[in-house]
Amino acid sequence: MSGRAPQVERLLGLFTAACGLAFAVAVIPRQTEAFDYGALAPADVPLGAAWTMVGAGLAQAARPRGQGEREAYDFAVLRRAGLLLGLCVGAAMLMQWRGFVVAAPLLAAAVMLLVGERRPGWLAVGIFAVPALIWATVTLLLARPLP
Amino acid sequence: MPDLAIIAAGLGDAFSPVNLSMAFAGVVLGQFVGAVPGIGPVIVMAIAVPFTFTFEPLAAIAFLVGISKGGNVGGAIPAVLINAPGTPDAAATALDGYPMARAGKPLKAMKLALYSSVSGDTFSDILLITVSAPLALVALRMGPVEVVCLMIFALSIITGLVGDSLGKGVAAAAFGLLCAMVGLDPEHASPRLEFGHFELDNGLSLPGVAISMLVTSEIIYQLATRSATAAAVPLPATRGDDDARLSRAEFWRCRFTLLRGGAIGATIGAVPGIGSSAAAFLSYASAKHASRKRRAKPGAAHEPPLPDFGKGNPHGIAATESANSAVVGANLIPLLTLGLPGNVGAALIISALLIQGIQPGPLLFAEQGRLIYGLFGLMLAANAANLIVGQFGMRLWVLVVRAPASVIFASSLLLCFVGVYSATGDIFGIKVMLLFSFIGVFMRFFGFSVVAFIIAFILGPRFELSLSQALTITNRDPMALLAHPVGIAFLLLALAAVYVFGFRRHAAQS
Amino acid sequence: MKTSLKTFIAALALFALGAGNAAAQWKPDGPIRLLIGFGAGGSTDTIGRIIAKRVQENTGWKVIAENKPGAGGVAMSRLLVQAKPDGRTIGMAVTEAIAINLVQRGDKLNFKVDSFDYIGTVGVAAVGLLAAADAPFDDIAGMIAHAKKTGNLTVGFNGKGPELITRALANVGGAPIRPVPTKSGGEVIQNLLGGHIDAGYAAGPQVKYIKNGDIKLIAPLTRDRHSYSPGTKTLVEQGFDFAIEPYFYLAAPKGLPRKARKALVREIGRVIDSGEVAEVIRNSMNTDIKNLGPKGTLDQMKRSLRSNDALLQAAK
Repeated sequence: MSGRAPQVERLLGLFTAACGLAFAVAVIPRQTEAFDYGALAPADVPLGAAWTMVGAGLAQAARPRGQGEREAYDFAVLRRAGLLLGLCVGAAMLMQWRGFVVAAPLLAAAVMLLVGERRPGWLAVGIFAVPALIWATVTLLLARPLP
Repeated sequence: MPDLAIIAAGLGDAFSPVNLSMAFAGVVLGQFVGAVPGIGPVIVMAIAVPFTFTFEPLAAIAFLVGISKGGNVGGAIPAVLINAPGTPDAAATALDGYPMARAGKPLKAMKLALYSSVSGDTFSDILLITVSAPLALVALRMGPVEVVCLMIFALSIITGLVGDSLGKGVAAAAFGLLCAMVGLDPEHASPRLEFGHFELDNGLSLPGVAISMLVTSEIIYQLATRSATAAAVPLPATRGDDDARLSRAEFWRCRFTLLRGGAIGATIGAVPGIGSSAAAFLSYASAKHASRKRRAKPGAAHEPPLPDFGKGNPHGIAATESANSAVVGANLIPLLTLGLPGNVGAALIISALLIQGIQPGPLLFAEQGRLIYGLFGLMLAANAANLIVGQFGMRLWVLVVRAPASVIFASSLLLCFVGVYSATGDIFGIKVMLLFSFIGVFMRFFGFSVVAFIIAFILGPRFELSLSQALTITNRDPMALLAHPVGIAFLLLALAAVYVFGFRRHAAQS
Repeated sequence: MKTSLKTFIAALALFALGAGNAAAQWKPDGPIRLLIGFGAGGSTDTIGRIIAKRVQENTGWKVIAENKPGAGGVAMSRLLVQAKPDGRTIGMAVTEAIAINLVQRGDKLNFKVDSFDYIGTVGVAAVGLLAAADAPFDDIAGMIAHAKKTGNLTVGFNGKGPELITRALANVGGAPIRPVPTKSGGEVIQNLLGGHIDAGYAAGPQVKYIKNGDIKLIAPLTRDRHSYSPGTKTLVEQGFDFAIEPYFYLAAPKGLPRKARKALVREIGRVIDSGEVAEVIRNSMNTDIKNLGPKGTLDQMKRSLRSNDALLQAAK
């Protein structure tokens, strides 16, 4: 799937403005306290930033720019990146549950296999040697805890 | 005027074998951890501080300053090689360093970064040694009103760094500012945007956000876009000629950029709390501006054309590395004269001084003159060590990145996990890192400037604090600004920057 | 480069493991984690790391210092209270920061004052209200009068307690005294010297400047006077019944085995009384060692709760 750049740019502008608006009217008022003293309320600078997002997004929607040299967005990239990020999330959960020693080699293995690495030597380096080196450096030499 | 005998004694202490080897060891360690993505020099300094109590004071400081200086040089290496800066300060180095490395000149780019870094560092060290006392007095006059105006100027520079869409760039910066507001507000210490997480009281951790936006998301984006079984950094088959050499003429051509970078870095460093990332970007933006002007001049035609900024222009590397390194020396001006640290690294140096019974402050030069001049001598020695170690270090790293991208990037991902966990001490930090990795990938894919986000995120807390201070001090009276001419000057500069970088440039394009 | 780095780190590690092994009856079955409630580079961090290092040298127990920053020690306490009370997890924080959080949002926290077995304190920070030497007032009454005259008197603070004191003084005196947030006592002093604010608080770095004659002490906020300026009356002595006494303390989760508790209290107490920690705290905080012991720390914690409660009411 791919998207033609100018239309996508216009949509991005609208999306940015919508995010800013959501922050300005819904999130920030609920997530800040009001005080009857002081020079700058907790919500002041966040609201400024959110409304700036609204303004900048609308400007982008009105005069769409920024596709640079590309003609279209290749959404396959986004899908692959999402998959890799999913692996990282899984690894983080595993790390919390079983610790670095279990999760790190698995994450390295999954990432390397996913991006097409098949050479056994390099796989061994990435899956066993590097995590072992990191573990030894951090816990033995620096005496720092790992998850 | 300081006593010459004290200066001589201090320099004599500096060049004792023990102290020199401590500085050298610090530089080696600093360059190494600076170059490993995800792990910064600050963690190592924090571990080293309690040990320094058993050292002689000068050796202790030499070691820590060595780590800090080495880390500054090391951070540029992954920025150049894999577009993932080892420290946020080197984020701007990647803008031109990485394209240069992709063009088959990784060694040249790293050499330029190293020499620029050492030049900027030496420049600001000399400034520190000669004029720190008067400069400290000037810095003292910089009150909250002046600082908030300076911050507005620094934020306005972002408009010069975003790509071809001003709207997306400004939106990215505004989002960065918004993220910087998470946590307790400075005036009332009331929790904001925390969604019930106490862990966020101190805000989203800077290492967590910086590593995820600059490193993790970049790694994932690269893994998703390019062939991962090839070498991480392609080197030309014929080695040694144009890549390995950085000719004197090439370096000399950057002299004004270096000087400007040094001056910007030293100025920003002398004012505590703004930091080297801002200096690097200011310097980058001004070098870019200067190059446009130079090109417009007819006399410049006899020089061979350089790549555009963002496509491997050597001035881009020279500008950022000279500026971010110049901050390190100048940061010691408020540190030594006022006891004010400019960043966490400087705060760790203060604690090492304090546990030795040395109180930074106005009496330091009078009471500890010999130590201070010893420190100055060692700072210059550490710069020399940086040059030597860097020569070997960059060759080592070039060897390392000849491994396939799959190995390099998978290992870097693991290091991000470890680095964030060590910096935040919590699995929660890793969750924050993953969230911002998602955001970072999204922003990279759709062409939102990650750099604009990071500058606004780094400057945000100090901007809000200074704004709150300035509003209280002036009792919210806008006319009070008239009593602060320096502040007005910064505001005018900010307007000019927005006009020149923002509107005129974009008008010229359409 | 690689080998020299490794030898160097190895030397550091050896150094850390070596030296001294005092006979202690209780032995932790693994490394002890010392959770420091603040980030790297502050005075709490420095003191905590020195304690960890010395206990390790004295006893042979492995002690690892970890930074758990967040909300003035609250983030650390939340972790500490969940740890197993086996003597292998201890924490270090500052009394006032914990107390104000318990007063302001105790219902949202998973711990109370008596959720911990206290080990002792290291010392109390010498927090005081300061002004530039040429300020036209020398005490609180003079400051309030000056504020009424000029219409806007600014006071730099860092931390919730000093902010509350500032607003309480404004209420009691009926004067336009306004708190200005800063990041540290050092920044307060910088702004005092630069003439940007009228007064401010610091806990340690002021001593040199007071001896130098650039800064003067208006009132100590602690209940005792400060040794570097024994003639200056405390806030309480000047007739304003507010105090802030930030003690650095160590605690473990409640329910430590008796032996473990005794061993920890003894060994940590021994280190605190040793010359090295005294020297560090004198150097870095300009204050002296003051170990209140397990019972005294609990009492101080309770006193701190009461005074913060009163302060919060007075600042309203």
